[in-house]
Amino acid sequence: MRTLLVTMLVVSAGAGCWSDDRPVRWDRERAVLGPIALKSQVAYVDSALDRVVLVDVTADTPVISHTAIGRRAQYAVPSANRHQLFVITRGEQAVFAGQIDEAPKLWVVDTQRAGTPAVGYTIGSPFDRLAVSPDGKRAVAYFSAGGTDPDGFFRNPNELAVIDLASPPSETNPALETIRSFGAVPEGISLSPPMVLAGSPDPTPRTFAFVLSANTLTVLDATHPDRHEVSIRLDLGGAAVVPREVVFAPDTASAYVRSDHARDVLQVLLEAEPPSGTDLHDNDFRAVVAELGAGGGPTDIAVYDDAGGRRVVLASTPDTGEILVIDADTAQFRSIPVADPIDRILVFADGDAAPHKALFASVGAGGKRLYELELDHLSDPLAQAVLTPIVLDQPVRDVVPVPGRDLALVVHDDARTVIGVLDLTTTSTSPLLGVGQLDSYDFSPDGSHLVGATKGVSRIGFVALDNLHPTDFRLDDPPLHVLTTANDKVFVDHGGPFGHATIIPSPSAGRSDAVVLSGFLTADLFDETTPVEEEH
Amino acid sequence: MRMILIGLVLAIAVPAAAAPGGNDEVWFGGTTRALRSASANALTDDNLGGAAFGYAREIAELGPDLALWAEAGMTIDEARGTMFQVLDTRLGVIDGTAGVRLRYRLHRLVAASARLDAGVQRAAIEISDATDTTWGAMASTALAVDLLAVARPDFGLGVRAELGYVRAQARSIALHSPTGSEALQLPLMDAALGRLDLSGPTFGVALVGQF
Repeated sequence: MRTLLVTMLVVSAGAGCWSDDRPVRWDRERAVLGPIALKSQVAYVDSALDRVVLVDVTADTPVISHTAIGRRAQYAVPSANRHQLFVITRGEQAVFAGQIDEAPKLWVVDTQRAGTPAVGYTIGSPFDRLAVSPDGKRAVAYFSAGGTDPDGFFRNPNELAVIDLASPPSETNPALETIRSFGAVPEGISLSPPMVLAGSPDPTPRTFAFVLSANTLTVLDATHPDRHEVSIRLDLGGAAVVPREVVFAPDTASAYVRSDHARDVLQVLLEAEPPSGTDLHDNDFRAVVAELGAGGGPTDIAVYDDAGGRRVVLASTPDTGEILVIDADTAQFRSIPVADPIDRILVFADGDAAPHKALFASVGAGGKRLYELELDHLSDPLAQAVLTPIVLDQPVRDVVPVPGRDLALVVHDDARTVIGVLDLTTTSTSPLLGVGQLDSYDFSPDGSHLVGATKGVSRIGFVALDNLHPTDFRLDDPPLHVLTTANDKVFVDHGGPFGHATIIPSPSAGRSDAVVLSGFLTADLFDETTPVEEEH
Repeated sequence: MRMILIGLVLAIAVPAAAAPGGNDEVWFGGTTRALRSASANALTDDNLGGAAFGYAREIAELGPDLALWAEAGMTIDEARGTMFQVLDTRLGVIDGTAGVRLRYRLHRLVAASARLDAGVQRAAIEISDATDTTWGAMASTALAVDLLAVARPDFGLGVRAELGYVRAQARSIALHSPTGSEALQLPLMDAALGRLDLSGPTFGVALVGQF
């Protein structure tokens, strides 16, 4: 009997040593977010391996690095200066062996300092969208839409997490807030640049979050998220008024809001107002709302600062057949009549200089006319503002500005097979005939080249925008996405589970100058030790 | 079945003083290797399994029941798995080894042995349509028990159960996808998956013939 017992123990011990549990990470469902163009890197977020993969293309030989983040990445967005990458991870509950309990988090990945661990902010709820302030110091996480959470139980779509990115995570950072709701849920959030409220005893510039919901615009002081928000009802009794765009005039602590089904562009001026002495969470501002224009529903707005530093808002109101030029600081406006239903406004700036031209298009109607407007003397009330029509042969389906140039890419069909380059200096259009649908394109940082790719065609097309000379670069594999980085390199993503990309040093480079980088998504996979494995 | 029983009876009836089998030995059987390294776990949840065969010759008699054998063998193993629920993986391993075995006869029909081998290992990795093959050094050691069913002086036939451990050199893996094109390819830079360690405990059962 004793022998049998010993034998059983030995066999059991042997069997235990024989098998081991495979880490659960290898059996996870995997989704890869990216490619995301950063300053001189391209980022991918791996939801199964819980890491951000950065491909640095600064040097001749690309450098691959990883930064660990939390479980189940579901949204990623770069900062405005493209030095940081923000990733929201949903986290998980430890239900099966090998899983870990982790709350939803926002991860801030500093892509400029290799080896720096990502900073994780516990955001409390599995938000799937993020708005980051232009200065990169504050962020607001929110839900992309209403509806239930299939992986949860209750869901509060009006909950926000306000994160102070300049401060480390703490019990009060992020701050979780639920904004006042009248039945709608946020459809977008815009964060203002730092603004100082006129007349406020607090001279500190602060960031305001403009929460866009159907029939409601909510203004929240993101610098002081514990204070009450201000809700602005937008409904007119008819179709729901849905705010779509917000442009800010930080010098006057105001914002201009374009909404679908609205009568006009809305100006929201934030003014200081002493808080209630009895309510510790009362805010210290009020929102003064004004409608600008003459009752036409705006379809697009654009903003620029003129040579005198004056902030100007351009708005198109097809219902009244006008283009509105609004002085954002004074709310004074002038109107320019236009026959076409304009719904796309582009402003052309040359570097840091003030913009001097604007382009107007009626994309929805597929109009064959574009309009150019000289902006240089628009502030002079005596100068006549005249739209110059540019008549094209084919309807306009999309218009994209070329960065830093007086050029625009005009797409003439929904399949993006017929495109043209519009030169605003000569108001001439040059058609470009592509081999197929332009599925992915980008411009070189200095605007010297258009780079385009068509899925299934193993070539990249370049157009030198100075003389519209087309060239092509034969690839070994068909492309999925094409990106350009700040150092003028062209990154062609071919897709695939291991990571497969072609890096072309410049638009003028030859095939021998390029390099195909393969396996970067799974680089060092065998050598990496997960936190779970370390615990074991 | 009846023939096996007759064989067993005849084998037992052979006088115990006679030395069973001969100076040469061949074996063929099945083997399995537990993959316990983090890198191997990445590829598959399974263990390596396959066939082993080899030849051995007695080179020195160290005592009445103790002998030293030189041997050479080969093991062909395979494991399949899945990564991230969608990537099929396959691991093919071929070991070629040479070494010595110290064999002690406990009984006319029972022997215990200890083995020490060294050799090379070829590992072929396949994930989805990407592959790589590496060569590396390896060493293995094992303890075995031989149970002979036939133990005549000129011939022996039995079964060997062997428990051991393989220490394999971890080699870097970089996957390559077939291009299928004769065109000149762009300069390629493969990022390595890392070093694949296929070390692990082994267990095998083989049919042994001595002559």
